Amino acid sequence: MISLLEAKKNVPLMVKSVRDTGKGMANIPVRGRGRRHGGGRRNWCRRFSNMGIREGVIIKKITMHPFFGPVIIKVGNCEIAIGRIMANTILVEEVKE
Amino acid sequence: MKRLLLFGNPNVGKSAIFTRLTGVKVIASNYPGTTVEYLRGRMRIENNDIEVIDVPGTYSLHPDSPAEEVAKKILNESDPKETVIVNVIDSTNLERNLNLTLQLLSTNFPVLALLNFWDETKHKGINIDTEKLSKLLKIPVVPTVAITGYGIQELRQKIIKAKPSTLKLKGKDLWNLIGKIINKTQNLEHHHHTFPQVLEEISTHPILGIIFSGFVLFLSFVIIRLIGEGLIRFIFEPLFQNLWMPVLLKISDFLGNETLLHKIFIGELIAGKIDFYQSFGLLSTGLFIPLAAVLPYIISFYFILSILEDTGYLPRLAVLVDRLMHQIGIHGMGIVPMFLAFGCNVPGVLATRIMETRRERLIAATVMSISIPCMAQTAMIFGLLGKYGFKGIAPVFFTLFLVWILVGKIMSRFVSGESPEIFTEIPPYRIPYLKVLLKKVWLRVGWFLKEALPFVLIGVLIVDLFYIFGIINFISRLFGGLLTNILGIPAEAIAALLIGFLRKDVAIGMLAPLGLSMGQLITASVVLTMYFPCVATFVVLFKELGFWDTLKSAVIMFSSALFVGWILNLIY
Repeated sequence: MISLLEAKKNVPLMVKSVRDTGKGMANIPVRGRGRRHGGGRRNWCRRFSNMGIREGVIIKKITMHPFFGPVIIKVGNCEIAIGRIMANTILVEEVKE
Repeated sequence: MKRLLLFGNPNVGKSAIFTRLTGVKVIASNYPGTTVEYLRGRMRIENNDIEVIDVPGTYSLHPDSPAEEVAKKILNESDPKETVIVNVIDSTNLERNLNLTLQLLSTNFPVLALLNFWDETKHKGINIDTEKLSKLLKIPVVPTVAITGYGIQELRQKIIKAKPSTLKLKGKDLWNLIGKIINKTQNLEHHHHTFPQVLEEISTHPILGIIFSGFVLFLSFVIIRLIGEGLIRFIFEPLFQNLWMPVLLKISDFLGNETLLHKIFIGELIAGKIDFYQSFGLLSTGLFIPLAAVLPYIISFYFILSILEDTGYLPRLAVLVDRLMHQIGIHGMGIVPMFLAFGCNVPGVLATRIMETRRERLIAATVMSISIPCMAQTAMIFGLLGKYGFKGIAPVFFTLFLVWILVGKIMSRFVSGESPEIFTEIPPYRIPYLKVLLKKVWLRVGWFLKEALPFVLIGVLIVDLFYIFGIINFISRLFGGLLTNILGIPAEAIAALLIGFLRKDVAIGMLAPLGLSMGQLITASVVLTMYFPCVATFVVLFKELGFWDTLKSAVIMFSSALFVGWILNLIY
């Protein structure tokens, strides 16, 4: 299991779990952001699942914007932009096509 | 049945369905969060007079943003016996949309599902068995294409008969159930990349995307200026000069120079002639400013904005500028309200509701009302400084951009609260329908004429009365020293600051007869943009932010305007 940030681009990834708020945040290079003003941690799991990101779903990482910009993923037919701190809480595993 | 609620995820076409059902024209665009406030309309089916409500888009019945709270509130206020919910579904994203559908089914309301964007499922190789879906959900399911009107007739016939679903959902795992429903009703075919999809990839690419956005924004600016100037030079100015001027001259002769009525309706004669920019009569400058100087730019701006909105480019831009926007403490989607504010600050402030927290909304609304001139004001700045070309116009907008960043940065440091990260859906590119696009432009231009024209006339009238009764002289003697010392602008310009509260375009227009130098015009234009919002914006700011935050916002505006004006005065 790796975080979405570390996963390869354009390969099918299965969502294994969504880490709960704040856990494992220490080792993420988020430079200042999210420290003072949080990353909007309220109701993450629910907001993810509302957008179709939940355990067992196959997603694809399309691109990651530099300088800690957002990650773009594809869920079903839909592209979604997610900030890095949030994206880091999504744990995935590569699956064969 | 008395009420119909249009429920659905953001950006599934609820507003387009609303317009189809009620005939009430509302703005529909291709980005999540176009509708942040609910809208009411009426429709008749078989002698039933039904109230239709266009509910802001929501992903679930647990609200996560103010717009979603509005949705929840409307549902709580409705009576299940008198209400039918029409759940609009994006049929290209059936699985995700069904989450809300099942939540709606677990309420006691009769629900009817619309599979919108039905035409797109064909291009994307998605096959949905609507009959099976209807049987599984135990509610009527109607495929529609809101923008062309396909399926609307069938919808109207089924609305009256809608009943609460008998599907038992208590204690069930909703996503598990959705998975089963999808397996039974939907199958996907492989399909090749289409041209819009290639463009989609380019426009969110970290490097190509930035080049592409530079190209799009530059082109938008050039086209806005080209259409705006073209309309003024070849249509509106000739109309005023050739058709309206002779009428004015007759009225002028009839009223006689130097009479009170002449001063009010025609204004001062400049070198024995009527000058549309400088005379400042109700019928001369009062009509010329809104109709000939501003309207052409309003038309061209909203034309381009509507294209950007309807193609679905704005959310992509939001992703690209996310880092920049975080500098001022808001995430990328904040670019959408900023864009709207270039047309008019009022819809801009309202659109800050797509931001999740109070901190973001306060920063976005303040930064916007300080540093983004509305199109009416921009048009007048072009009109006045246009003759100096790039040298005259660029400093104004460059200064305002610096102010945008600086004020934003300072506020993001001191305003407490959370700044969440971007988390948004990026809709596919869609080719706008020209007819729909033009209707939208017309709708917005109509609003401008209805809302702005009376205020411009009142503004011009007040200016005239102020001059006639010597009030301007009095005030400029009282406060004029401040202007001259700090900002280097003549004392008479204080009147522009007063009128600017009513209409900023009139205020900029008031600078025309003062014979200012380029530097003074630049300073005055910047200060007039920054010092305070116009009354219309002030009212929505107050409504959205409340008393204390509006007060904070106003203090920041006034003090930063004086400071920036002082700096500009030192430079020029």
